[in-house]
Amino acid sequence: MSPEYAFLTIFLPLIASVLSLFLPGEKAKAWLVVLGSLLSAVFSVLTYSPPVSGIYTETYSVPWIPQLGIYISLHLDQFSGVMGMLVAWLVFFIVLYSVKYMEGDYRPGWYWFFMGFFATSMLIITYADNLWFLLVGWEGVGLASWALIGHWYKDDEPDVKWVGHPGDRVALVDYSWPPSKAGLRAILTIRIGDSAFLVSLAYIFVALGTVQLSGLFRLGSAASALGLLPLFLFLMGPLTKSAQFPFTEWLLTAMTGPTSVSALIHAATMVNAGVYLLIVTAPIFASVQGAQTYFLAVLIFGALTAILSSIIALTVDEFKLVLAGSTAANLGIIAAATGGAGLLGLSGGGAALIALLWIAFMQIVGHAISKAPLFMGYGAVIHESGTKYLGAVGRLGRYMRATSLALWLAMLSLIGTPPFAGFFTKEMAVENISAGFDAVGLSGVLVAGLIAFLAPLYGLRLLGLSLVHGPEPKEHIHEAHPIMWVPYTVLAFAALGVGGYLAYLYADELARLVASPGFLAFLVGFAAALALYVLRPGVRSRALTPLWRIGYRRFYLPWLYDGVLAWVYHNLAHLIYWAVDRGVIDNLYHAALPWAFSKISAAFRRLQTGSLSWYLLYAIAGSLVLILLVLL
Amino acid sequence: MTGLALYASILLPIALSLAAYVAARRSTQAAAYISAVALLPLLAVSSLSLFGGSRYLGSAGTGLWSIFSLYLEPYNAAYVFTVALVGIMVAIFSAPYMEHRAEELGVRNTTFYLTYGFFLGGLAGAFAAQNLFGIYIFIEVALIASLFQVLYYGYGDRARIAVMYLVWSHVAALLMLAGFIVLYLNGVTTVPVPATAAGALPRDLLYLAVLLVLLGSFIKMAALGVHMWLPYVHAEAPTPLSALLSPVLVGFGGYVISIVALPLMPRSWFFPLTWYGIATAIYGGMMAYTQSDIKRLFAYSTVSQMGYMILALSLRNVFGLTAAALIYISHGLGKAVLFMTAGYFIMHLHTRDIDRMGGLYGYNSALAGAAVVGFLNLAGILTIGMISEITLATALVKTYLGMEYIELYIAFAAMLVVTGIYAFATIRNVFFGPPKIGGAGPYDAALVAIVSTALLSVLLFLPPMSSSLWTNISVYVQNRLVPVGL
Repeated sequence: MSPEYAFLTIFLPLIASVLSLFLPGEKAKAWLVVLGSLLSAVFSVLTYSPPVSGIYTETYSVPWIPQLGIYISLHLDQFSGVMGMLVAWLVFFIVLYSVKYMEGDYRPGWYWFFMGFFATSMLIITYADNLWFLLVGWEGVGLASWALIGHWYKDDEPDVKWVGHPGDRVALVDYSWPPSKAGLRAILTIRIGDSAFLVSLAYIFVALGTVQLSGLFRLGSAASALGLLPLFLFLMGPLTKSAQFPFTEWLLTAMTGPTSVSALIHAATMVNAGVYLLIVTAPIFASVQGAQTYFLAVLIFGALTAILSSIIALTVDEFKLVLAGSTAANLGIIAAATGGAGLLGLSGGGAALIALLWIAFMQIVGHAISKAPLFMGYGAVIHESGTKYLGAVGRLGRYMRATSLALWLAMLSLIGTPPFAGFFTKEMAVENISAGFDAVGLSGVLVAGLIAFLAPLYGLRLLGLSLVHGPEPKEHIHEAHPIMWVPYTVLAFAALGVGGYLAYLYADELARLVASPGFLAFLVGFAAALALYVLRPGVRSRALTPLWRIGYRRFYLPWLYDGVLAWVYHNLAHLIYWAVDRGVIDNLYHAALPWAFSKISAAFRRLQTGSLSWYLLYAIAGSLVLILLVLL
Repeated sequence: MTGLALYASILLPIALSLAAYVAARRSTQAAAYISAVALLPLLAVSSLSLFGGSRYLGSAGTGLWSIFSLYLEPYNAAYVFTVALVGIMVAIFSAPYMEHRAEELGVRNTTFYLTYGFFLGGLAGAFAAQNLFGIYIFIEVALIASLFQVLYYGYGDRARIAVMYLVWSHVAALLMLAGFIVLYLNGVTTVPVPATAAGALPRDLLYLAVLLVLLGSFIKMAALGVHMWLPYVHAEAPTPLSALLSPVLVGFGGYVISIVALPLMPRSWFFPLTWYGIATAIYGGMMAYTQSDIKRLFAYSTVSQMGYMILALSLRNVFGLTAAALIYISHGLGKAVLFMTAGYFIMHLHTRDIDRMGGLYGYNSALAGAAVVGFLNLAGILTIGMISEITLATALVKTYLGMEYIELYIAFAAMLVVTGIYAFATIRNVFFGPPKIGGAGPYDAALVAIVSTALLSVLLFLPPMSSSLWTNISVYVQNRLVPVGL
């Protein structure tokens, strides 16, 4: 590995974004960050050439605070190499797109600074070999997503910039989220995970003496005594960051950010950090005693997220919210595939485990190159049509042909249609899940089938109701500016191209994949979706309405978080403030104590009568007491 | 020679305060810059020790003069460095602020700048003093100087607040003094107190001394239950003073615990102290969340941060004591940024009420960015605060490792979350949301001080700054403080 290239890949976006703070004018800032990301993307390729296989194959390290185990260290292997290129190139396409998308925005300094900062943070996570150094990137992506989700800090234009229908309420709790609130939800959810994550890193350092990933990997069975506690504390980090159930909510309301930000968070950075970390740490944690329980938990959390988030994606009525739900679902698939890989690989030994983890990893790639063009494309749709609601505008295929094509290609890939990239990555990931459940005696086919079945439903519903059917637009709608549509169309074709490459790579597996139960479930779902949303839309079922409502209300989790939990914390804090802080402590120290002092001093003052005979009496009494004391 | 440099750097702010006093009669700016420049040697000396590992030892003579002997090692240099740095920044900040405040009150700034040097010199002296009585004398100088500032330039019912400050800071100081006297009579005169002293003292007497020092320090730090004075005093003090009281003065209690109480403390006291620290941190954080007066909010947040420091001290290992010094730095810089931000609002928007703020990012984006960095220091994200947080977590697990301490881990995580809640909720309430105030905040000396302090807190996080300061502090702690009985 050439560490210089890796460092340039990592830090060029940050350098560009820091410099952008000092440039006047929005255009200059934008193009500087685009340049930084382009160079970073080029260097990401140089870093990975020639490619290396295995895990933690090459490492590079310089001390930061060695006594605390903090090193600035990188690792290069098939995971970080590919992930680095994926992140850097997606970042480049997304920032290029946002040159036009964010034109005329009221906060360019903030936006362009945090875009570069975001990329660097994610690239640190990608290449970091030291967990403390990784934590720097980890906190960085959290901070950047907070900043960018709440980018439109004025909370203006509720119809475009908020999530939910302004004014919508469920049992006293607001069901609409302005950007500033969505940012707060994101960072607080992440803080919960990160606090536990921090403790687990400290635990690993104290127990094993290192937090170098490659070092921990080399420890092998010596790491077995670590125990499950740090593993589960650790898991809290990826669970919250990758929006696994029940921490999915922040990701959905993160849609208040500009669409370019959504594309960045969902495809290239942030949420992928969690699952990526699960994958690259799996070979280490596999050596820990009781790892089976850990991987089973990952599998179950992932599968649960995949199913429940698919249902959310199927029921919500905002373009971006559907996509957000599908992101959570795909992250669930990746996490579950990692859990499955862990469970299966425990018996199979090192190489088998890495091969299985590679399958989970490939789903990150497959999802990312499909999701980025979808977000950017729907960003263009919202930009042109002026609405974010699914059903408010339709038949866009006629007006935005390039966009429409890109959206179809990307969506077909996302839901796993052959021969797109998504087909290969998703089918194989679903197989991991299925086999993982089978390994612990649960019905894997059922879970995997359900996951595969739901994806085409939400995917084609979105396309059918916005591009093919729906109300005719009221105003004339143009195709997006080339700076916007070229990046996402290129990426959408890339999904096809990567699919072709994978078909060549996995030619032997093709027959097996097509005959798998997962693919059959997909076909059923695809046929149903085609009928319901593309060919004959408008079928409604009264019986399903209550179920639809549960999905639409996102399992009432917002009500629990924004309502119950926030209410409890708010009122508990205020109760303690008024009862204890003001009631007891203030009264005790600022009222009771001074009062007691004044009473005592008043009592003593009464002794001062001014009469000589009383003073004589005190003197005699005092002398007597002294004499008694001396005598006794 | 090095001793002379130490004396000179501590006495210079005191000496130059007379010049500042004279200058303040003509120009607030001149007085402010004199006060800032007076602290530069102190910053240089403490930086040399903190980043370069230099050691200074100064003696004024034998006999009674030995009270004034000074020392500077990387551990206490961390404290002195923060005092000097924040002192300089606040002095620059005070130029526009005190002009505004004096105009508002219809008085002159002379007393402020006369006492400013005494306050900072006294404080630095207290951290550098090697003799127990020396510590007491220096801290008295600082307390009395700051008392005048509250009385002359404070807000609200400032006479009452000044009395409150006088009473409680002296209760704290006198309790400490009582503990010091007990130790002194038994032959313990210098700090850090050697652990061997514990064996030489009668047990009851030892406990009494430790208890007195601890209690005094807790009041000073405004720990849970004895924090009653802090929200009032820090809220009503003139803002430059708040920006010094909160970050640098209260942490003095933690320093005294680390060099006097810890070496003598019985082992069984440490575990309750750990919980007490966490409880203070969570309580302070929750109370901060309830405040709508921004200065009171920051004051409670100080209570919370002192909880972090007590927790760090209670962990009796090299990481814990290093974390304590680091928290002092990160909280010092972060809170200075935040109090100065509050001062900026007071100066230009004439309000402390968060309910009247909102959307202030648009009012001044540089200010908003700096304030965010201030909060990040408290929340331990990507500033020197992150190094503190990592060190603290490692210290915690080092002492309490295993499944049986799971409740401690959960409480620790909850403590971090509570901090996150008030930090990010306040950022949202103040800087985001529909703008309630129009116009644009001016770019003045105050803003320069705020932004510079914020930037420095990020710079200190990066290598090699954080590497050298961490190493130097921990080496001293390992060699001189940890073996002392811990």
